Amino acid sequence: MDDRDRADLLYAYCLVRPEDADRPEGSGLDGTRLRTVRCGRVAVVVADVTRARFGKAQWLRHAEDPAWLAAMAQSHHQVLDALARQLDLLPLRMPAVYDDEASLRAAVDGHGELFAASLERLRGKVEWGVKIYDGEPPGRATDTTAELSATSGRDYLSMRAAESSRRAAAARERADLARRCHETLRATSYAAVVNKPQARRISGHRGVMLLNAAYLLPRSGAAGFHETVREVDRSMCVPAGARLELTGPWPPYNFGAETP
Amino acid sequence: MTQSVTAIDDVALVDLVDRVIDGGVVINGDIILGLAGVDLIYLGLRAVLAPAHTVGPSRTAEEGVAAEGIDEEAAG
Repeated sequence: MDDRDRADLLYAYCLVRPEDADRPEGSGLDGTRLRTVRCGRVAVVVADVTRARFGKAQWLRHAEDPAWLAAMAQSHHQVLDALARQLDLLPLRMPAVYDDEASLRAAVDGHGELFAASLERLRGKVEWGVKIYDGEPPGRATDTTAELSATSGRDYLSMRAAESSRRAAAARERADLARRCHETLRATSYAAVVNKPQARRISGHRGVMLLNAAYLLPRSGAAGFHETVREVDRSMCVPAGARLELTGPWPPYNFGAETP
Repeated sequence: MTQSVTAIDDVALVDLVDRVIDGGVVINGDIILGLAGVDLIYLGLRAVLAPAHTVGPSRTAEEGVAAEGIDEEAAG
């Protein structure tokens, strides 16, 4: 029996231009074959899945199951990643599940113009991520020495005040470094988005995350940007003891925001 | 500097979930799940990102300062 015979739910991945509707290939959730549903000015890449596997009850049952959710996020991304290397797409936020083609069309209906415009804006473009981390906060060792050498309460308080203003200055310097790096990178990209720094995780980064940004670049020909990234790293980050991390190419997750 | 990421295994889960949570377009995918259901799922996804035993954003004071340094949302 074919997947589509049993399927009673649509899991949607992304929007593509109608002229690209025949291009998406490969498989989605549970190995189901990807296909597209034409919805006016755009086409939606979907997988035919079953309610029993990915219906409301399943999502709610796993709402507090980070491993299941992480696997779903990974699977969602895997499909988008493979497609974005070949064609322009507008990622949909997970989970986008629909009863049938009619309910999917109803959801897209009315926004077709906007989505088509967004796809046009993203033509031939992908996203690259840049994160910058601070090095070890400087001066820890000397602080201790200073505190030990304080001979009076007043001494101690003035040292504390000096230390606090030094820390504020260091924070301003870090913010300034992030701003300068970002301005330079933004100047060589089509568009840029600055996100909140990620929370530190147990297996996560060391140091303070100073910049968490995404840049929109041509799918082929991001070499100029990469050269700028290397230059920013060499001339701004390394001297400041900061660490730069480049990731990508990503599907343009951060650049579909100009939609309702 | 870490160079170009090409394989999914190389993509840090945190970067991926970050994008899947906050990125992309929303087109009434909540019709089936309901707003409350979607909220629950996002709470769960944020837990994937959070340090152990903490749900929700967990930023240090210093990260707050850095974040305030560049607060623009988009440009281009």
